[in-house]
Amino acid sequence: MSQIAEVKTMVETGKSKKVGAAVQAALDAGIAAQTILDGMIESMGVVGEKFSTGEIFVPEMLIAAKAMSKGVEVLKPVMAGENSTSLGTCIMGTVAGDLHDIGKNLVVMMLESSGFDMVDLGVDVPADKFVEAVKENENVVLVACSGLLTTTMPALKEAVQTVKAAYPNLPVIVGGAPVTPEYAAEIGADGYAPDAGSSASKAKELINKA
Amino acid sequence: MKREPFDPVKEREVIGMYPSVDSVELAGMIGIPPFPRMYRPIERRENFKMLFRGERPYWIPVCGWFGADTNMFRPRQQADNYANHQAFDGGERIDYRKLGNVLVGWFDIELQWEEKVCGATAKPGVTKIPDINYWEDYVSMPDLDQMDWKAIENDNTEYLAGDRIIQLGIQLGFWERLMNLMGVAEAAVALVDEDQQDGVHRFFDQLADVYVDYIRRMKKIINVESVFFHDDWGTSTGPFFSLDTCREMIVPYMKRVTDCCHELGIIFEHHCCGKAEKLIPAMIEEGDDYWYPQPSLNNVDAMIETYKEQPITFAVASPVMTSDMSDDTIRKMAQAWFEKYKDKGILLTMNIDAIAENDPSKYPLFEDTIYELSRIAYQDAE
Repeated sequence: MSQIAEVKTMVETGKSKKVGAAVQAALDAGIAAQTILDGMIESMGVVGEKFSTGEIFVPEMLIAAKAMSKGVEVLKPVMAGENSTSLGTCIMGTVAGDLHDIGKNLVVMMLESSGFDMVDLGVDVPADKFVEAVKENENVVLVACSGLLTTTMPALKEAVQTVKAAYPNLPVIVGGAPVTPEYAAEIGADGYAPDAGSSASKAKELINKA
Repeated sequence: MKREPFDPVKEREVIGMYPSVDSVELAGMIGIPPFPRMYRPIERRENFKMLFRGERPYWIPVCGWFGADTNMFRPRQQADNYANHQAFDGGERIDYRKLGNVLVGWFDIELQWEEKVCGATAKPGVTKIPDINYWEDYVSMPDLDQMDWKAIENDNTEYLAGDRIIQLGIQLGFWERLMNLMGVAEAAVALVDEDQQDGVHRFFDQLADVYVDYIRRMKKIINVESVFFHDDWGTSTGPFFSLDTCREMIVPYMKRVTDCCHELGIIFEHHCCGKAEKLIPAMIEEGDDYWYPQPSLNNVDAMIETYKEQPITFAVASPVMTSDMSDDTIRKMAQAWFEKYKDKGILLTMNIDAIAENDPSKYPLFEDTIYELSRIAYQDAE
């Protein structure tokens, strides 16, 4: 098995204790850090797809994200001098009145693993906070709003519309159990992801369109 | 022995009242008022047990937290019940609002009440077990000797009197407990991480002992006839974990609990929210007697068909009934429901999925109609 393939397998299967050594071995063999990172991001894409199709579940996705993060730790010092490979900053939060964080946390991990710099505002986030966070952070390319309760769907609408009023060209993606693609479109969101697994590809699609 | 024929007047006669439940917070209100007890040809508990003995009951048994053939019992002396605002017992009224929104459950965990979802969860940001491999350094198993068993025995005589089946509710099963103590993400990873699985097994092994001991002690003083065991395995889109993970990490411990129940003649209801139909094989292997799958997320008809030869049955919810429906429409819906399920050996329960159009005031007529139809249809059974 090639060194890159080994790193990818370790990410996909969540071998967080071994992935660091595999990444180091790949670096030692002269493989570029960016190539290794791209390989790991690709692995997380596979993980996301498997999650979306029900082949794997929350634990497997989380342990893969954990392994990815261990691999990135090894790459970070090597890549410090290189040009930024970040896809940009994504502001994410669960909307006002909603305390659910599991789905939101999964999306944060998946987007981070896909190359976004994540700013996690947490739960119960008022609409204005999303706008403030866009102002306060550099290179914001995406806002992601999560809502898990039917009762907080109006807050989701308010969050989307407040961000769009302040930043009409900034893409906003939404998700959460009661949210449908139709509702996302109705409230003015640019995109919708039905689960954490598909959030990364949708997020990339949105920023490429913007 | 021939069954007493259905008598529409006599069996709608109120012969008493079932007691109120004063210390439960549901839908923004504390307390469930008393409700009428109608004449029944046999005790409700006996009818319920008939279903699980494989016999034709007198009517389709009704399960649920209130107004059902089951009498939910969750004594406040078990700290999780108190902390979850769900003391289904005969004690003095608890005014939870005066106590603040954080109360302490088993394992000294702070449980924060959230009114919007009418439930409590571990206080965000507080992790009791940062490393499951060393859980003994952070928490101790609950000491059941410290519970006031005398009070449980003495305070609930009236509450537990009557003909309903006494159902002991147990909050926070294995997966829920792990989530509460470690945080959701860390608990999920621990289930599949080979470096943490031994710690999880060790923890669940001792936790199973606690649940078994709790049930055995309770059975000595209270006529527990059913256990209602909370362990939510589903999300809105599917199981939290795979069937393999469930089999490896949870089933052996759940089985010890159900084995204990069955040895004591107790019927085991696994309470599991979410879309969890893929995990039914695990439910069967661990010995669950019945499960109420949330109707908006699971296909109960497919489950009934798929598992008809297996020792598990399901509670089927009433259909969504809207406020504009006439009594005649409700009766027709009940007739259709009954025709569909009359030979399936299932239970009835009130649909409590958060569907805005569902009008709960329509349910009593639906239940009454199912009662009448099943009484008539089953009255000639041996």
